[in-house]
Amino acid sequence: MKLGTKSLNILLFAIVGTLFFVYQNSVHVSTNLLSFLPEGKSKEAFEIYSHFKNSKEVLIATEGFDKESLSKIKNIEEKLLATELLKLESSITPNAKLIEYTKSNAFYLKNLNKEGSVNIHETLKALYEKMTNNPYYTTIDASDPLGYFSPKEQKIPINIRDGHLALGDFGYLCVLSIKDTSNTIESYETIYNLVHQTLEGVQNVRVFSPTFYFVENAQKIQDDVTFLIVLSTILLLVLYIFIIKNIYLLINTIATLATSALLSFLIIGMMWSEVSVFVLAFGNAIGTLAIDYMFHYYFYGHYENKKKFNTSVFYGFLTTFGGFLIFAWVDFPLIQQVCVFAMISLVLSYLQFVFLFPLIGFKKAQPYTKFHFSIPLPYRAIALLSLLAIVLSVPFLHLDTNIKNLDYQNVSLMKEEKFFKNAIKKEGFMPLLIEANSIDELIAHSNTIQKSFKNATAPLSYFFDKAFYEQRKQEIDALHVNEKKAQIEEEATKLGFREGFFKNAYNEALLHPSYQELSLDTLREMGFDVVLHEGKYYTYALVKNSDRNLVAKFTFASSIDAKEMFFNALEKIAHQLLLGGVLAIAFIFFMLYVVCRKTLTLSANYVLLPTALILLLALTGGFTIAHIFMLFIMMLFGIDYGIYMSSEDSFKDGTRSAIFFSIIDTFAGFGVLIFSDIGALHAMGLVSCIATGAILILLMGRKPQ
Amino acid sequence: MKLIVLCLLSLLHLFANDAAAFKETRYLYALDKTITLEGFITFGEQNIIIEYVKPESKVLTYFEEKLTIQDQNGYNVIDAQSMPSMNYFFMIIKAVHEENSVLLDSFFEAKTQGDETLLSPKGVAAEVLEEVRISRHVTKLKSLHVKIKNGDRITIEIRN
Repeated sequence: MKLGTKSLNILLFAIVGTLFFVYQNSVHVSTNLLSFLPEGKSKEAFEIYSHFKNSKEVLIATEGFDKESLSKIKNIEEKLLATELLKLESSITPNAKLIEYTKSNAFYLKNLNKEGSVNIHETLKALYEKMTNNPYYTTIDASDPLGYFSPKEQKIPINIRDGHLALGDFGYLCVLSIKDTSNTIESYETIYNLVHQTLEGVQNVRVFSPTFYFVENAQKIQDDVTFLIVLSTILLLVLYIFIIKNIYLLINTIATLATSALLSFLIIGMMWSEVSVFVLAFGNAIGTLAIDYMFHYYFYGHYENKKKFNTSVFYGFLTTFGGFLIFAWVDFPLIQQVCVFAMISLVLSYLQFVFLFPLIGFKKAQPYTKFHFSIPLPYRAIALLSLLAIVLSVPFLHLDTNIKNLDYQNVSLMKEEKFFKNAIKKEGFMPLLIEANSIDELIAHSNTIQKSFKNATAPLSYFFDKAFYEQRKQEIDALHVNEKKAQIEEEATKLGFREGFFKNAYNEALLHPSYQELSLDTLREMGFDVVLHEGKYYTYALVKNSDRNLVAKFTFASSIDAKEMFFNALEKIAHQLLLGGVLAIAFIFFMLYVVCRKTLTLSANYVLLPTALILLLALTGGFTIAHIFMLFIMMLFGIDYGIYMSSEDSFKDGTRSAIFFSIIDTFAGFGVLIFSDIGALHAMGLVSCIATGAILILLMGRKPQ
Repeated sequence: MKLIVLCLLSLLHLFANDAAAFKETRYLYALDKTITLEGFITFGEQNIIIEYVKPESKVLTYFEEKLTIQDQNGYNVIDAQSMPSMNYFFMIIKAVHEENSVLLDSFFEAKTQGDETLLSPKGVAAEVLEEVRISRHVTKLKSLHVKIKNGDRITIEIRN
């Protein structure tokens, strides 16, 4: 029985470990921060937009406009197209279907100049002179000799040099789209590797694709999280060996923490289809909160002799658990995952440390270095000053809603993106998602956007809807060109044009083509981006960022902007976050009042000072949701220390050392996050460093004599 | 005054880059008429300058897909991209002069027999052009014949 009890913890670890190895592949870990934002219209729009080839183009440019540069870009194109994974997107490459459509609907696709060509003789004479007098070779449109129709202006002009797309003054440009529409990281990785292998050794070439962010960031984030987990684990192991000094207990503690983390991970994997990689980094640190319970039980001597239930530890556990429980209701998958992971992990660790470990029994090691050092601290003054700092700083807080500040800052790729966007003149433009119940309506909406915004580019506005067709038909009829045809022929011949040259001008097929309903497949074959999603049709347009506010009046259009999407997501959960925050603060004060009534000022300091310092830091700018979330966790964490310090035993060697080590341990767990290149984790690390630093100073203090 | 200075500068430029005298014959199907122009052509590193002396004095400068027309009335700049036929015309001249086979291969299937090369347009070029015939003497361009789909014909003969 005794042997069974002793090995129960290890057995539990073995079972959970086996389950983890069996089921780990069924848990999909994602590095994409956008996947964990709340569901909503903005997020749905973002997902639909990701299906457009425009959102995942691969841009390659070779420097210079010489023979070598042209040969280089052609070779690159040839090699990449040979793989059949990419498709060349170029407006100068003819699209048979689009050419055919354009030819038969020419009078409906161009602008109509109703005022033009009043005098047939003068107009034809001008044409004649243009052809004979222009020093350069000039052609005329035989189908529209009176010049009623003129091509639509291109808002973002295509730059062509030597019959090839050009990127400003830089060199030749190649635009490719990914044939695979699956939008998986594996598909992006294949393209990334293919493009980079093709460009290996090629000099003076620049490349960018929005999909590269997924590949590069995923790898960088994985490397970053792995580094943080390894660093934190090594630091904690060294610390535990130094603190615990009992190898058997150390092995059992590690087994307990690992069991809790692995089981939490598996449960999270069952609850959500995708688990954020941030949960792994955060989950590792959560273990440092759980180990506090073991420290207290170990240093109180609970594992050596049977003692009464430790209420301080229970209240400490309850507040932390309660805090996570409050925030788990916030409708934000990333926060929910972190909270649920923390709750499961804390419960499992608490149960094992408090109920299983005393049964196993561990001998307390010889006393290690004692911490006699203490400085007199004016706790009351600190509490008042902290409170004042909090009250004064809150009105000046500014929340940073840019999601990019939470993600990995891929500076080199961002530089390439800016370079291409500037050269293509797409910088400063924002994509809009246009929604409609039919393709005809989608074309009408695209035309509305094109007309409403001076600098907009709505690709589908190339076409016309049924209503426009009817209107143009009437306008053409009002021109009475049929009555002018004979006069055109006569005047043209008189002027010297070949007889019958204009016989096909304003022919019936051009004047009254039958209205052609465009299908989804036809539009795609013509090279346009249209998506059918849950019975609705979608396409995109590009509008100037400065027109952002004007987009709101168009109910069929929504902006595709990560920053705005994140802002909307935050707005949606703002009341929940606020309610969670109020509840958490109320809970903290309730616990302070119930548990630490006698030492209220002293205990409150552990919440007030860290909070005040973090809020003062926030005034310097860049206060994100990650800072806020960690602030609440650190408040809940601080109250634990307030509770521990309220205990009459708190000044005993064992207890004080346990408290002291637990804060060092938390610093090693959460503090290492400050070394992260990922905005969210760095913010959490920074907040925890300030909080644990403040708590450490408070722990070293004593009341002035 | 400004015009005279510019004309002088153009002339200096022409001489500095070995201008070649040429005769251009344009057959315009729409008018069933042939127009003859004469002048000098100069290939710069970045541009092509055509100075017509007959029937009228005019200077065309083709630079970065833009065509600048300079005559007694002043300047006029047009975007060559808006006129596919003219754009192809300059592109072919440039490619032939630079012996840029990559550029020619992008738009034509080439067949060479002796000093003569026949270019058959493909892809987007086939929408506008019918045929291009290039004659060389040793390595120098002798003549260029362009057949356009609308029935027009352009012939350029280099004289020196």
